[in-house]
This record gives sequence, C-alpha cells and structure tokens, in this order.
Amino acid sequence: MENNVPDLKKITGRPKLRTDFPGMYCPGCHYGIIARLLCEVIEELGIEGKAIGLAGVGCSFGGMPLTIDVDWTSCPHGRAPAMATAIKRIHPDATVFTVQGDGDLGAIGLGCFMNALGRGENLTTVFLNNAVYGTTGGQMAPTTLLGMKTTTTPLGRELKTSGYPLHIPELAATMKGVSYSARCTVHTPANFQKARKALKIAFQKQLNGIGYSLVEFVSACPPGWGLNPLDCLDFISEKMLKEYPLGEFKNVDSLD
Amino acid sequence: MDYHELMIIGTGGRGVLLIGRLLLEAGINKYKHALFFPNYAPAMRGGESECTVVLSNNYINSPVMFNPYFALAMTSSSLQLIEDRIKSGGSLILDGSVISDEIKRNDIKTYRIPATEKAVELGGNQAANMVLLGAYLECTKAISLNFVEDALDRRLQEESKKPILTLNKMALNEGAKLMANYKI
Amino acid sequence: MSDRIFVSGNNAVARGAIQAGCKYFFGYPITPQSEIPEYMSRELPKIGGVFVQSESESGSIYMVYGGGLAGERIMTSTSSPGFSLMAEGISYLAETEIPAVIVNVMRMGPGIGTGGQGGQTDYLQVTKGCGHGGYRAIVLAPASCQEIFDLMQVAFFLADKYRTPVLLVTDFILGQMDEPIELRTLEFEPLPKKDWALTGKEKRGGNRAAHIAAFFTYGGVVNYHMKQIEKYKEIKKAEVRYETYMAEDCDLLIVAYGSSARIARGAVDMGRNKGLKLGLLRPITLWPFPAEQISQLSSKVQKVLVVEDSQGQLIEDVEASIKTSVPVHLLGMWARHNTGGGGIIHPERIIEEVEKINGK
Ligand code: SF4
Repeated sequence: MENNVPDLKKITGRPKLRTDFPGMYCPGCHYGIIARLLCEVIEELGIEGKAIGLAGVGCSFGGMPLTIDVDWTSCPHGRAPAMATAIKRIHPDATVFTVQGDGDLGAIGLGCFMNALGRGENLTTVFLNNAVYGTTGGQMAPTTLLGMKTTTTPLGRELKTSGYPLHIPELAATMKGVSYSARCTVHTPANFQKARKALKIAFQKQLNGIGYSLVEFVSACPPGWGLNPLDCLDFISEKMLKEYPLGEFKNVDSLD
Repeated sequence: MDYHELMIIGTGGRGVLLIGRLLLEAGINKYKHALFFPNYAPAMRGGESECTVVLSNNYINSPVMFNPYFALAMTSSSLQLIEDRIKSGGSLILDGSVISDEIKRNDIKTYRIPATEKAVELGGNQAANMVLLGAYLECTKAISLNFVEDALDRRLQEESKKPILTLNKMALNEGAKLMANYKI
Repeated sequence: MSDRIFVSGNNAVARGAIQAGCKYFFGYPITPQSEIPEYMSRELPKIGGVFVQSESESGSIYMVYGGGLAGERIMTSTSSPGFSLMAEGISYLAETEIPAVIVNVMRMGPGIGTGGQGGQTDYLQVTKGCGHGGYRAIVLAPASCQEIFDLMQVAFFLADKYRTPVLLVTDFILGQMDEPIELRTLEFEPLPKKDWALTGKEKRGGNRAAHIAAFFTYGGVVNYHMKQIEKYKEIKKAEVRYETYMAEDCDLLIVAYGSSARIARGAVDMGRNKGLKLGLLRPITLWPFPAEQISQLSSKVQKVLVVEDSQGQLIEDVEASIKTSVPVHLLGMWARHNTGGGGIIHPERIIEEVEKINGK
C-alpha cells in the first residue's frame, strides 16, 4: 500500500530538559504534565543554563528535581521563598523559581511566601493546588473545598471548624511587590496551551526584573480525591473551578 | 600606676555609659589594654545604668568586678548600690549637687563634687557627667584631659554639635579644677 | 597603639565576618544582638554585598540555607529564642552539608527569659544538636573582642572545610563590652572549589547541581550516616581548641567558657594573690569538647570547679570527661550578685566559693 500520509512533520516530542528518570507520580496526577510544561517553557526562553529550581515538601519534592534537567534543590517545608530570596540576591542573573504545593505554600509556608511577595523579590512561583495533602495521604489542605472529604475531614470540610478555602493568586494580586498572578489548569488541551502562555509570562516578568510572579495550577490528585483520573477532570471542571476561577489577577509591566 | 578600674553608676539617660566609653577611647592612647562593659537593660530605658572601665598595661581578665577600687555615683539610688562594694582604701566621687546622703564608709576617700550645679552654671545640666569625669581624671591622673578632648572632638564633629562640644570641654576642665581645689 | 580600633563584641562579630569575606547577611532583630544586623545593613551594601531583614529567625535561617547553597559565605546572628527558631534550619544545613555561620548571642532562658541581658543557658542546646536528627556542629566560644573577631574568620574556614554549620556563641557581656582589637586577616589553607553550588548549570559546563535529599545523594541512609560519623571523628581529632591559665601547678582547676571564663581568669589572679593555687581551663570549642585535656589536668588536681551562668549544663560534659574521683563542684547562676536580669557572677564570688569548698 502506498503511504498516503505525506509531509509528516514532528510538531512535538520529549522536551530536551526532561531527564531519563521515570515519572514518580500516581496515574492521573497532573504534576508530570506540569513538569513537562516547565521543561518546554524553560527551553523556549533559553534559560536552562541559568535556571535554579526549588521544590517544596510534597509530591514535587523529588519529582520535579529528578525529572527537569536544571539546577535544583529540595527545600524544608514551606521555606522555598526564603531560600530562593538568598539565591536570587546572590546570583541576580539566574532565573530562580519555586514549585510548591498547597500545604507547603498555603499552610506552613504562607508567612514565608507573603513576606517574599512583600519584599517584591524577583522570583517566580509555580503553585500546585490539588486541594489535599497528597504525599501524606490525603489530609485537608488550606485549599480543600467546603464539603470535600479528606482523611482529616471525614464528613467533609466544614466551615465552622475548618474555615474557608484559600485563594492564593487573588491574595498575591493585592500585593504591591507582585508583577503577575494567574490561575490555570492542564486538564484539557486548550487549558494546557493557556497554561503554557501564563507560565511563560511569569518567567518573562522575572527576566525583565519586575518583581514576584506566580502561577497557580489547579491540579488533580486521584488518590487524594478518591476518584479515577477521568472523573478527576470532571471534578476540576465542575467543582474546583467554581471555587478557583481561572484567569489573570494581576499583570503589570512595572511595580508602583 | 598602670592599672585603673572604675565603676560608673547612675540613672539611664544621664550619660553614664558615655563617659565610660570616652574614658576607654581616650585611655587607649596610654594603655595597652582597655575594657568597657555597660551593664544595663537594653529593653528597659531609664532604669539604673552602670558600667565598668578598666585601663591596664597587662591583659585584662575579668570585664566585671564586684568590688571596684574607684566608683563614680551620679544619683542617690545608685549610691546605695555601690557604697558598700568599694574596695577598702579605694575612692568614691559623687555628684554632691543631687546626693546628700551621708557616707557610712570611713575606709574610703569620698569626694563630693557639685557636678550638676557646675554644669548648670556652664550652660546645661546634661554636662554633669563631664564634670565628674574631669574630677576623676584629676584625682587619678589615669590619662591626660587632652585625650578625652580629642575623643570628644571625634565624636562631635558636626557644626551643629559645636555648642555641646564646647560645653562638654568646659565641664571636663571645670571638674578637674573642682577636684584640684578639693579639700577633704 | 592607635592602629587598633574599639569595638564591642557584637561589632567584632560583624567585622570578623566581613574580614572573612562574608558579603551576605540575613537576620532578624532581637536583643542583645541587634548591633550585628545594624552594622551589616550599613556596611554590606558598600562592598557589593546584601543585607536582608527577614520576617523571622525561621526566615533568616532559610535565607542562610539558600545563600549557602548558592556557594557564598553567608551568616546570620540571633539570641536564644531566635536560635530555637533556627534550630530546624540548622538541622537541614547539617543534613545537606551546607557551610554556614550562625552566631548566638545568648541571653538567659528558657522562653523569653531576661529579654536581653546576661546568661549562658544555651550550652546544651548548641552542643547537643539543637535541631532534630542527632547531627553535630562545630561550636566556638570566644572570650574577648579580639578572639570574637579572629574566630569569626576561623568559623567561616571550618564551615567551608568540613561543609558544616558552625555555631559561634557569645552572650550579653561579650556582646556589649568594648575592647580594642587589631583588624588582622588570618591565613588558612586553601579550600576546594564549591562545585556543588547552585549557580545555574551553564557555569558548570552544562552539568547540573541537584540537592534533593542527602540520603539519596550518598546512596542510602547507612552510607550517609557513616560518612557523617567519619567526618565528626576527623573534626574531633583536629579541631579541639582550649586555653589554660596557671593550670600547670594548680590545686583547684576551674573550667569555664566565654564570659564566665574571662571572669574566672580574674578570680585565678585574685586567688593566687591570696595564696590559693587556682588554675583555669577554658574550652574554646564547646564541640568538639576538650575532654582529653580536662581528663588529664583533672587527674593532677584536688578539686574541679565549673563556673557557668546557667543551671549547670557545661558541668555535664566536664563530669563525663573526668575519669578519676576528683570532686567536681558547680557555681551556677545562683551566684549572681542580684536577682534581676543584670545579675552577674563576679570574680570575688568565685573566690568566696573556692574558700567555701576548701572548708575555710
Ligand atoms: S498523591 Fe496526588 S499529588 Fe501526589 S503524586 Fe499522587 S496524584 Fe500526584
């Protein structure tokens, strides 16, 4: 038979920066996709030689450093922005970014994070929000939805005892030291493309020296949610995005 | 003498630590070793304030002493804390303008210098500490007044500080005179 | 003599660090050490360095961690309550073998303590691994402004040489007192390049540096710990520092460190003038501890007296060092001349205690 599929063009492939280390995430986890996106954006911007990543405690702790071929350190729980502050002050030419989960950034590390924003550090943070503590077995996170069952909210998160879900990009947008703050997801191809754009803008802000940039990824955690990977996608569309709307909350070219 | 130890004690804000530090800065022109230790509560202004100064040609061991050979008291309440502690045969200078307490010790030399009165007469009671420092230096000859004046010059260089510099120097010299003419 | 300058102990910390090539300081205000960050905030920008006032001591120690990872000489300073907050980070520094210098200008604890006056109540904390995990850190305890200035340079050298956090402890007395010092630069053996530092991989010919978890790097938990144990042994062999004063022929050996040792030195002279044969051993490194030297000296004396401005912490190491039945006495914080925050153990009080021990 004739090959009647002419002009095959390679439009995508394994990113150069993706190491040979196998992914270490659960099936259906979005962290692997986000890691790939990070590889692609860092490559596109040509900053792989200058990039220094800091991974918070959580499922990104080993996963991100092992799979993305740039300089990395893992960090104590919640402290990545403080460590990144010193690294960036010492190597101002480096592109320094943190990858932190919702427990790491939103609970134990919120003070550390907010103070780095307050100082207007020239850093980029990738905030992974899957509404649970995945690594420790699915306990409540600050971003857990009201009514959502976790191992420490067995009857569902209750307002009276556990308060409200935390909105990090909206909070960050109120800070003068922040240049860019957005929320995205990778749960559909279209959103994947938007996320790529957002991540690129965030890094670009740092390259332009305009203060703190932040991108939140609303992301699936099948074991934490007790759902199969496909149902997780619906859960994101129907539940997560109701509480956590997508979009840009701040995008400025200079700080005032 | 190549060894001098002095404890200065008074209320915070009256320049206790300042004259201690001046003595140290001036003392290094003559002595190989010098040490100043301010014992005060940094978080609590206005309380009792004390410091020790040691000038010596040998390595100075302890930065603190319970029984100083020489003491300088600026207030009545601080006198209570130090009177019993002065070494037998030692000396005490006190601000006679503000301290009227009777001194019970007769094994030490006591000099009542009307420091505050003299300072007011010269233009400002804040210079009482300098009168006492002048008196101390005249009494012990630990260092020459010039070295203290130099230290003052270094500290008070700005034009706006000129009047206070002049006042301090006058007070220092007047203190020395009061001691020189002192009759026990 | 005028080529010397007057500095306080706190100032000597800052100057010693800059002399050692430290251009990055991360700190948080706390009494009685705030003169250190204040000095750094003034001076570091002038030499192209960076001062960052963090949001807490926890923030400081992780900035220090990041700065150490970035390959530069970095430090922070604090006082006891702040040091507790830093303990977690020091454990991480030890785990990942990142060089850093941490200064603790102690004040009396526990808790808020005296709010900024004298005390040596952190001995156990600094020497026994202040954070989790049972690591060791070199602990330097100077006793004069010159020694503070010099040991700050030693601290940075040892931190780099052994890739370890180094703690330098002083206290209110040492921090606040002024002495003339000579601004001298100490010479050290050359150090290996920090090829592990995070700089961006282009500076390493495209090979990345990755610090993920120390156990992982060393190929497992046992390998990791064997490596550390090796290193600790090496430090113990090479880095014990101490000073003796009139100890050759003494009947009673005083053991004290830091400001208490300085005061005890005064007591030795006072005692000798009275015909009391006193001597002093001053540990300069609190870890590694001069156990061998104390053991030897103590076998030649009738009595040992530990002087420390605390409840009795150093005495645990002294007693553990002594192999004979020589009696070990303790003069602790109860010997202060008043019960307020400004209480001090004076040399005269040490003599009183010696006379009491001697049964006079
Ligand atoms: S626990 Fe959740 S976040 Fe962690 S790897 Fe699994 S799916 Fe991903």
